[in-house]
Amino acid sequence: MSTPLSQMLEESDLSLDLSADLEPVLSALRSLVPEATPEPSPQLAALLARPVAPRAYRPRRTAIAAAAAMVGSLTLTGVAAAANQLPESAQRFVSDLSSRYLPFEFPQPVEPAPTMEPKPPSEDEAPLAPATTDQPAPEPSATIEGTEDAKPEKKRSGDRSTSDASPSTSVSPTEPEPSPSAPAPSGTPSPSVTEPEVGADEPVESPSAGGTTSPSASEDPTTPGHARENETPSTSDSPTPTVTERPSGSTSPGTG
Amino acid sequence: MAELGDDVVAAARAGRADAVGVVYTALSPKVLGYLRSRGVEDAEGLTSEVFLQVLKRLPNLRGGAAELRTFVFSVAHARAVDDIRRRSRRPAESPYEPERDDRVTASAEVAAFEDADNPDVVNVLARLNDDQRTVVQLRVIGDLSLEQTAAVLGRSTGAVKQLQRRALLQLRTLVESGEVAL
Repeated sequence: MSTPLSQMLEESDLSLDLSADLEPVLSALRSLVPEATPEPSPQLAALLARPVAPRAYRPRRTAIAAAAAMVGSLTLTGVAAAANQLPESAQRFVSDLSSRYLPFEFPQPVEPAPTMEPKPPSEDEAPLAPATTDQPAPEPSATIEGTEDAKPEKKRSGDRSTSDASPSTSVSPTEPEPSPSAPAPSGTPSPSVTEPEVGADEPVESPSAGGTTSPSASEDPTTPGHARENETPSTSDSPTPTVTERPSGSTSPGTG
Repeated sequence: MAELGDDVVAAARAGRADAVGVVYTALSPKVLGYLRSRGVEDAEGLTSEVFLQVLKRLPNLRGGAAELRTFVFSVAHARAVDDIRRRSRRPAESPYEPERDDRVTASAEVAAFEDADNPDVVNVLARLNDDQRTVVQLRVIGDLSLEQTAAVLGRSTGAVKQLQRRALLQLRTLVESGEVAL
């Protein structure tokens, strides 16, 4: 059924009176359409006999590539999480996720050690005692184990045991180890504080490991509280202080 | 002539040979008539090429009979234009005929009309411009709606309506003036 002329005239806002003039033209034009079906070419005839089958569903390459990338990233993340190499926040997230939804767990990130910034060196800073017991202590002072060395290092994996050690455990000014050679006098609040007025028999604690001797202690070190204030927590590996005897001749601070 | 319905198109899209045969039976005569009216050199062979392209893409087509008809005539129109352009670049060699050397041939398409089966109709259509002629051919021979014709030509429906109006008025002028006799 061809488009009627009347419809075309209406669509064109033309009068239907034109149909009488135009109908022969359009009829002649319709005569160009053959009644019979044209003979198909051999190639088309073969296609008509066996049409193209609908294409089976095949995932596209992009979907495959995206899936492969996702699997790869998950694998890398899992390996990194198992090795505890992820950033702290990511490691914590993966660990929480695995503990909730997965049959296995990834390790929790290592907690960073509490940052203890050493005080800037000042006059109130207590000098360090010499490491060796043979050398006399230059002055009576509260000897605290290596101030600079006590700076806690950055957290490393597996350092939790040392990092968690509180500074009070490395330097035990309040809890001295009992030593038969240097008994702490009774009434002394802290063995880390030496009071020059007591005399040469007073023990002076000094760390066994390292530390430089700072002979200048301008402040009066005799006050236990003062010395305790100047104590710098240490996280060094030598928690046990050694006790040295002050030479009898050292009476003036800053000399010797 | 076989009627083309949406169910037939769906079956043809699914690969049923009988439905594909119905599609070819319903549309191929119109395509052949359209190509003839366009003055295509080998209208039958080009009709087969059109349906080869259509059937290969049939499983991916969407829509029903109207959409399939639009697609078929889009392919036919493109192939006709290609044929005309090809012939204009490399005209067919033929012995020189002085009576045909009027040197007023506007295009290869108009020259092809002179070889058509119905020269009277072709002569009438040759008086229209290309756009007007194509609109009339698609609407009358291809039985396309305004919207389908607009889709084939890549124009708006309003533009096609204006082309159709001017074509009808031009044809009426030609008939009234007696310049064409059918």
